[in-house]
Amino acid sequence: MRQRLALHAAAATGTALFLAAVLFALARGS
Amino acid sequence: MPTARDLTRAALWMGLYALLALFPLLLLLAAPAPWGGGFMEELASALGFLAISLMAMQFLLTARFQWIAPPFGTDLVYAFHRHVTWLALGFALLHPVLLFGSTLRGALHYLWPWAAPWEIAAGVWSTYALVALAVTSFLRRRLRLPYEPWRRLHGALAMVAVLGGVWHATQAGRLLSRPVVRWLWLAWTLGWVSLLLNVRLLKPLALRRHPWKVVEARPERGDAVTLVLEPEGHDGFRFRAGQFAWLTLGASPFAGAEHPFTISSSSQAAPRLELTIKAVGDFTRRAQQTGVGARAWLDGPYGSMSIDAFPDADGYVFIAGGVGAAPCLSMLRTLADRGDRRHHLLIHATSEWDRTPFREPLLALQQRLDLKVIHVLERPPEGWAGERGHVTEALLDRCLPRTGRHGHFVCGPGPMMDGVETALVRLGVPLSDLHAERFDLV
Repeated sequence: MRQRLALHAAAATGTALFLAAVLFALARGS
Repeated sequence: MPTARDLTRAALWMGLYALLALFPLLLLLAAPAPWGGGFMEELASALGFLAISLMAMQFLLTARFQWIAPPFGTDLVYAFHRHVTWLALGFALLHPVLLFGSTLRGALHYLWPWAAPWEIAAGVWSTYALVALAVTSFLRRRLRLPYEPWRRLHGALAMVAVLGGVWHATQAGRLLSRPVVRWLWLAWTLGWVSLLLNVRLLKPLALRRHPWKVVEARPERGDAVTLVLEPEGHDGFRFRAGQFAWLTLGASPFAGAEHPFTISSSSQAAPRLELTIKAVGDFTRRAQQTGVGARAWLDGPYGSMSIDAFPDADGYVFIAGGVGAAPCLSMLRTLADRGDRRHHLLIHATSEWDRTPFREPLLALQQRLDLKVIHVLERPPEGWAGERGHVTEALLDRCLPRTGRHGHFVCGPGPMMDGVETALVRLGVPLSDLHAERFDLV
């Protein structure tokens, strides 16, 4: 139960970072 | 459910972590390189930088900073560390796939790094090291890798993964062409990596001035031994009942790998303390043969599981498996030393009556505390009238106190903890009243 919290936290972090990478590419890409 | 305060703190930590991981991208946006690529190329670069960020920040999660553990518990910080490996690996693998796109087949020869230009080879080696890190950590037990060689390999592979990535980014990439950006990014990344020095060099150096001595080695039932330790020429440390310390046995703190063990003695008895160790691996077997007078080194205390984190409960419920009861024993002994008058319950699951550790100290504690002890035996002796089998939801439903607010502590082998935690939540115990830490960290 508690261990699943760490999995959710990592999944949320991964999703947020991937979206941030997409925004970065949109801002910089030609 | 967790309290609003816990959730806020957890969200703040997660936000801070994500922001730190994004630092390279923010830096690259603030001082952009003079020329850019297409969307896919920029996305590939961003994921490459994020993979290096995540790898570098892995050193932060295991740098033993006490302030990282709450509100999650040290075991969840390590669990997060393990999950992040897959994120870093995923981003690192997406990087070449997006970069080469339809020409990926033509780039497959880079998979043999010695055939690739060295700036590409560094990135390939970095990815290979990351794959090896994941395989050796997740399958350590199945591969029968002993803890100590694994730990050395883990440190070495982690360095290859990060430094290979750093080399690749500075030499093969175009985004770090501005010297100020390159140097800031290098300092930021290598700063995290230097935290490994904190754990593997600076901490052991500091420990050298604080030796401990084994004053008693007491065999316990169930293949366990209790080492009684006293500080030599210093005041030791104060700890909260339920916490753990990293133990090294040998002539110096560098003599062998450290292992985490919970303290089983009362926090009121500090600086003298006891660690109960079950023989499960190479180190624990050696620890069992430790004699009186042996030199020991302790880095601690760590961990956030403690009765002191939940002082105003109406009582405590401890659910332990085998020698995992050590932290519960520490908490019960502390309560007894403080003259606690509340009602407490310990459910102790073991395989056999003759292999049940702490039977005598628990009997003595029942004289000093309002404590009910329920033994659950997997293979009970003939004529056993008590509980048998495993700690199931039905058993918990029968035994748990019905009134008041109780702190619940779960300590034991992983599968047992999974089952008990799920059962407790199903029985309506709020997550904020549930305290557990796992010490089989790898």
